[in-house]
Amino acid sequence: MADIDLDRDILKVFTPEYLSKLSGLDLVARQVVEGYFAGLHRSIYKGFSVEFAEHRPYCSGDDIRYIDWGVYGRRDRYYIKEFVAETSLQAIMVIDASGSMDYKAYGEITKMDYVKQLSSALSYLLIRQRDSVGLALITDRLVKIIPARSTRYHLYNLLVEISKIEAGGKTNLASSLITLGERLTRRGLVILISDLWDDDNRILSGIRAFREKKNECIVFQVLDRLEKTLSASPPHFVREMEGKDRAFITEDIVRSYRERFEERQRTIKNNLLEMNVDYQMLYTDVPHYISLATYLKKRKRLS
Amino acid sequence: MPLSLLPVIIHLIKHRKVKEEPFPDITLVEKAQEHLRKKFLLKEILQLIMRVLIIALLILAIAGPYAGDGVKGELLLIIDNSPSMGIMTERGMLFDKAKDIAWMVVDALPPVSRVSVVGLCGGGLDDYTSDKVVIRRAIDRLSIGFKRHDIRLLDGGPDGDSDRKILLITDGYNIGNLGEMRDIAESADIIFLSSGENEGYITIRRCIMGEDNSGVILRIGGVSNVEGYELEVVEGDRRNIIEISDEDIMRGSIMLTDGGGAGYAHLVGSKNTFGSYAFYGERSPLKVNISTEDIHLSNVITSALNALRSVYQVEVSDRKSAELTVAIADEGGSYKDNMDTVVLFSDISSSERMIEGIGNLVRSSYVGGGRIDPKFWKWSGGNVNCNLSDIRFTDLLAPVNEQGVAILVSEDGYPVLFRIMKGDRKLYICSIPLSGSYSNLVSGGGIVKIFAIILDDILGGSELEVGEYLSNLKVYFSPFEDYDLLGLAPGLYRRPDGRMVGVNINEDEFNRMQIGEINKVIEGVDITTVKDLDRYLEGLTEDYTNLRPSLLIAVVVLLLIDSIIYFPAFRRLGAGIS
Repeated sequence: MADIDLDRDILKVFTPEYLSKLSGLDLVARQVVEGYFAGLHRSIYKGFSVEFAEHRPYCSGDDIRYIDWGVYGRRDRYYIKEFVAETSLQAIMVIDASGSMDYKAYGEITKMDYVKQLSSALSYLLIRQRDSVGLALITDRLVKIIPARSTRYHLYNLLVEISKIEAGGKTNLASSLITLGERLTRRGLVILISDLWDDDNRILSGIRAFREKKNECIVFQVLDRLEKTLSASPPHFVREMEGKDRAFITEDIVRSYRERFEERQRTIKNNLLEMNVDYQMLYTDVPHYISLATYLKKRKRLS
Repeated sequence: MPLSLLPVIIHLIKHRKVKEEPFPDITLVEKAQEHLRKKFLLKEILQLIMRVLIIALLILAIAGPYAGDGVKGELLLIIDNSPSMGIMTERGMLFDKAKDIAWMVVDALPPVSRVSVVGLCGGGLDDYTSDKVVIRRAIDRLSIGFKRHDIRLLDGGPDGDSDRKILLITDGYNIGNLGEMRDIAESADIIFLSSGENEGYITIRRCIMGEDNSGVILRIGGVSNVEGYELEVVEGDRRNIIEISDEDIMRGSIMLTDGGGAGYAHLVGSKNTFGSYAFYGERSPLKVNISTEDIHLSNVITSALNALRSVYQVEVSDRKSAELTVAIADEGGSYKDNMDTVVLFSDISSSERMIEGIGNLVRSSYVGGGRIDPKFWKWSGGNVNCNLSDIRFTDLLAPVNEQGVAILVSEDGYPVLFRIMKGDRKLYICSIPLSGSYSNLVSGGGIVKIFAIILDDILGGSELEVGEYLSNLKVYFSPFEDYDLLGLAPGLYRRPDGRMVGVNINEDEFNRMQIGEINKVIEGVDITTVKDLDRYLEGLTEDYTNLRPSLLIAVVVLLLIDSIIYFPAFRRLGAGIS
């Protein structure tokens, strides 16, 4: 570890106490993914392992070693036994690095800081369970992509890259996700971490592009709690962080905004669930390991 | 001034710059704004519509709209403002009552009705208007007048509009013009007013005698009590008794009205005989016979005094032998004698110097030190037509100035009577504005009443002294020069010099109209009287509904709704109630 120049903040994060908080949390893909290594994840590639998957009729060329003679005895037909192979997960963490992520109001840290902590933790967890993990930074375009690896050295690389992320620029999730999708050649787990401040349709179309390629998707929406309430003390102006627009808000507008926010959240959540995408909203005032632990427990329960 | 700047200073001190905070994305904020903007715009539009509606309804309410038909055309409102309308009744002046009725009529009319107001003796509007303020002002400005108004100009109106109604409010006394009578009678509704004081008076306003007494016009005060009265008509040596019955009332040849306050009777016969009768309440009837030769102020007054003496049982054989001394004063006459009391009669129109003399008298001797007795002022009803401060001095009455003086100047039988006192001196002024109808002067309700009042005042109410006083009374007349008998009925009159005079008729009429022919003008005229004013007003306003109250209620309701919607406090209050 000494020969790796880790960012001091990252090092601070991975204190023994912190790591102890993450221990016992495994990121289990609910969906079958393909992997190079037999890990915690069931591969869609049916192999010849210990766990039976299904029978299929014998075809010419099949290895006769796998013929289930028991079935043949009962049905007088040849069936081949297939097994599920446990394989390693390839995950890619897609981090929204647009300007809006630099927001801090209610919470003590910015959304980007929170995302850094969260993504670091995820990286650690995934690599610890021998899964490979990569990193993609997006704004209104694909800024950077680090291919997935599962080595500890790769973890250090990821942590360094994560620590270097700076929020800026505009958001265009659709185009950047589609670009990213084209770059990914292998199916796996896509973890999108964003505040999702973009057009709803663009967000969903971007995620849909991953789903159409049979990727499993998890969406972490990271928000400051004031983004839900807009303002506690109107009237005043709000200025958009990714542009120059500004708007005057009053009590009536705040009231209307909150209704619209809730409605939008419901819409996003319902649409993602329809696409069989995991969705979790995280607030920056709740420590990320607590949010993460809560989510992973829920995910494990569902799997 | 500095204090007025205080709110500005406070405003500036309290003024804070609105803060600006960053926010990740304002898309939702803008959507909320847009939504609220639409909502606000809708609210604004509703508010605008509502407030425009409120203002429109308010303007409409002020305009006084109505629904229904009612009188939409034009109404010619003729108010009799002849001097006889100046009589005071227990309820006030008859003329004021006429004005009140006119007000009621105007108020009852729908706003679109166009009205013209005309005084029978001058004044009023020249045109028709629907502006009730103008109409009311015109009614208010009407006063007792003495000019003849040519009503025929207004008959049928300038356009001959068939929708036009004509309403005449009169005491029935001063419609002396046959042309007017005909025009009005043919087309007008007439409201006759009774003074009440005239109860028991029977008056022949004009009696045009044919061979069979046809064409007699009677004006009878207190029409409700006329049945059973006998009217004695003396024509020269002839003496006719006319008993008034319901049948007579119904006959077209006899027109019954209240006779105003004059309480006199005129009889103009085919032999140019002028007679006058007055019946005064329960007392013995005053009977004054005056031939047309006597149609002179001095004779009229003499006759009146004779009539008065008859009331007080003073023996009067005839004018020449009476103890009464009548001196007809010429210019610069004999009124320089020392006398306790001077009673001066005059129609002021005949002598401007008289006015000046009275003015000087009042100014030099009484004004400032004198006082107007409220009793007399009240009796006259405040009907003062003579502005005493404007009249000037002449030497005509200067000598009288040295005496204790009573001056009496009568006005058309309905005088304005003052008594001004200074020490023991008493000044009686009774004005006669321009009309000066001698026939009125002779009537019991005019001169006789004035005499009675003055004598009562001078003698302290002792009837026993009246006879003696009258016996020693000296009457002086101011000089007058012509026979401007403005108040007389149109017709032919003989002057004392025997020459016939046409009164109130033009030359053509004078030539055409012979006494015996006048009745032909009147014959066949059918008049419409208004006996039930309330029903008449209902008829004027049939199907008329004033929308103003409804509109005002609508305005109040809309204002309330506006307040509830746009003022949070009201809204909360409303929510709390609900």
